[in-house]
Amino acid sequence: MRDKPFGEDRLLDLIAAYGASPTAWPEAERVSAESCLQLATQEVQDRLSEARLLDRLIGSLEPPEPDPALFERICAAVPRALSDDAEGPSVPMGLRVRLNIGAVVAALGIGLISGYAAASEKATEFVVPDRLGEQGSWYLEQDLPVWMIGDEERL
Amino acid sequence: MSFISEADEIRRAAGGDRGAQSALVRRHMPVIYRVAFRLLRDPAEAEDVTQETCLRAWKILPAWEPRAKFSTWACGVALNLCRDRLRRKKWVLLDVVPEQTDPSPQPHQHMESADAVRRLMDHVAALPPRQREALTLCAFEQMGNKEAAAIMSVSVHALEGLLGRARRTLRRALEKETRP
Repeated sequence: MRDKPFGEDRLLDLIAAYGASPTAWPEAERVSAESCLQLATQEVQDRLSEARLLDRLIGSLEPPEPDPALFERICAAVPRALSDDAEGPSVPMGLRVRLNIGAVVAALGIGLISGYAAASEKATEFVVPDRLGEQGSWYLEQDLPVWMIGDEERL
Repeated sequence: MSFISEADEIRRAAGGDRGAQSALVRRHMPVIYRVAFRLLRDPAEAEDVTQETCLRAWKILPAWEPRAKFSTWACGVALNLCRDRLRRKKWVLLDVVPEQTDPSPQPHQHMESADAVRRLMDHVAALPPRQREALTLCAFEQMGNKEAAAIMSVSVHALEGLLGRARRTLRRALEKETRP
């Protein structure tokens, strides 16, 4: 909202930004601007004629029209776009969150079970290091997480 | 004749009503295409942006909330897609010498002085991106200042500044050409 009363400065701003035609001016200020135009000074008149020149050029440009085939292509692609999305939004939001939580819990469970199984196997192998030899222990280190190897190993 | 609100139409389109879907495309596609064409100056790229914008719109239709006009939102998406393309193009142009473009006027530019229009389009293309966007939305598409500002995510005051600078630059460039 403008607090200052409408004056020539604002009229010049409008002409500079929107051109000479009052129809292009913001609707809220149009009436005030047109009233101000009645008392236009030479400066306003000059700005108006400059702006009219550019308005005429801009207005003479024929708008580029899209190929009608584009309309057909987009309409044909709509059901696909909607069905791609249907997998998600067709499930109520609350249920989707519950399904996601279920998936996370299942993934964690599988991870824990397989991790436990793998760890048990390795633990067994650690119990009998003599039988593994040099190469065997090298493979074991690669399988271990970094935090289990220790800093001195990494340096 | 019955009046269907935009919200109703969107709901029906999201529900699979082909008539509502076609009506939405028919209403919004031309503006999106024109904006994209004027910013990218390439019909094929403008078509790509239009199609991408419409498909993105479909995807959000089921969850659409009428906080803004659909056209404002769609033009904002198109504008961002154009910005991405122009940014990528800028990088490509640093490495590759561009092909020579045909200097003859495009078919949509036939008017009393096709040459003046072509020159105007060249000057518009040379404007800084934000000024070009503001001019495209307000002067070419004759959008209201609030809608154009919302699409560009700037204040109305900033939009007016961009428009003023764009028009001044164009006027000076055209004056320079006509000077003997």
